[in-house]
Amino acid sequence: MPFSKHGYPRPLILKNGEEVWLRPVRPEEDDKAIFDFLSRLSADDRWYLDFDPNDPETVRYRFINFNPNKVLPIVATNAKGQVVGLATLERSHPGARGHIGKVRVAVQPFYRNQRLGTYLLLDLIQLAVNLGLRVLTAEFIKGIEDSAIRAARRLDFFEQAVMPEYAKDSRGNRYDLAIMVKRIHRGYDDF
Amino acid sequence: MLRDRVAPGDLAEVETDPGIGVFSAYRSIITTKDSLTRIAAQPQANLCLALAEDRCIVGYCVMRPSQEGERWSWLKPPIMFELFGETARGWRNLKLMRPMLELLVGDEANEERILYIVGYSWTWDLDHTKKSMQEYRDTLIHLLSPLGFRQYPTNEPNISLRPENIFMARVGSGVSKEVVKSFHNLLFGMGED
Repeated sequence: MPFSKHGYPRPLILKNGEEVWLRPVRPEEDDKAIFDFLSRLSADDRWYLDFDPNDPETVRYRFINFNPNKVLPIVATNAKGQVVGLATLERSHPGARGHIGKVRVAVQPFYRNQRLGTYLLLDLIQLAVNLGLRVLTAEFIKGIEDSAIRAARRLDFFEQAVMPEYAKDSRGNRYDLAIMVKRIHRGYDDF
Repeated sequence: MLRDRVAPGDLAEVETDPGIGVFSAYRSIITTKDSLTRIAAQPQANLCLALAEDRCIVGYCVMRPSQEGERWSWLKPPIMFELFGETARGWRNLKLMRPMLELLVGDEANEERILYIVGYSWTWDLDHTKKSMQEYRDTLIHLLSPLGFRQYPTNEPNISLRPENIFMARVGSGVSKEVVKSFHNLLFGMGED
């Protein structure tokens, strides 16, 4: 399994001292918890997701019935067992893009500004290191996801490209999409 | 030949292989017998040596309580013990580290301790071993996992400097839940509850 050497479940202590645990999605038991998590996101948050959280088929395809060779979904759970954060590392088939992973992170509103998003992103980076990936990419909407952009920069993601006026809010205002990249080093010469 | 619980006086009879402390991108603080002698003299430290022809140190492994000033020393009484070691260049593909680690980790007292190892990628001899960082890192994981170590996330600044760095710990079977909780807090820089 791609997770075997990563040491899940992994404990995290948030800024407020709360303990949450990171672990891979367990398809047989996380179905309801993931739908609950998505339902707790605000309408605004849901708008900016790159999938339709109201479509059970889509949600199950991405997070429950996932193919571990293509996507590795990680949940953060609190002491009550609720999913409070959801992150995915997507991989391509072993071809031209086989060394690249794409990361996505979503955090429940109550758990924001507690470093959970940063720790989830860090976990995906370490998972990518463990999997031998070389490049990670992430997409953020500028002006909307600025705190996530700052967190990614702290973890050495850099802005590789900007797609102007690519995304829109619910009123039709346009926003730029930043494509951020992080390179994973193989040797000292890479630094 | 392996010898553990080496006392400072024992080191008078041995010499260090010139390959000790030789790294491509890093200057080790342990390059001489004097530095090993100082470690052997520390309370509760256990120094294990790999000796060639009974007198030449070609590898060493140390288990000792976390040093004052390090985050891991905040748990009192000292329950976190650091493991680190080195094999001399020229002897690095001979799998000397595993038996040294087995000897140190196998101590029954460790069931009441949390052992940890910090892998800083800049200390790895990639040039000589011809390994990439991932491969070197994997070697550490494969070396330590069978001994009960697992990776833990942490925001400790030195470890967080590079995602390739690795922190692995082994929680002894006799360590209480409260101490484990304190350890988890410590991983993220929180004091004890």
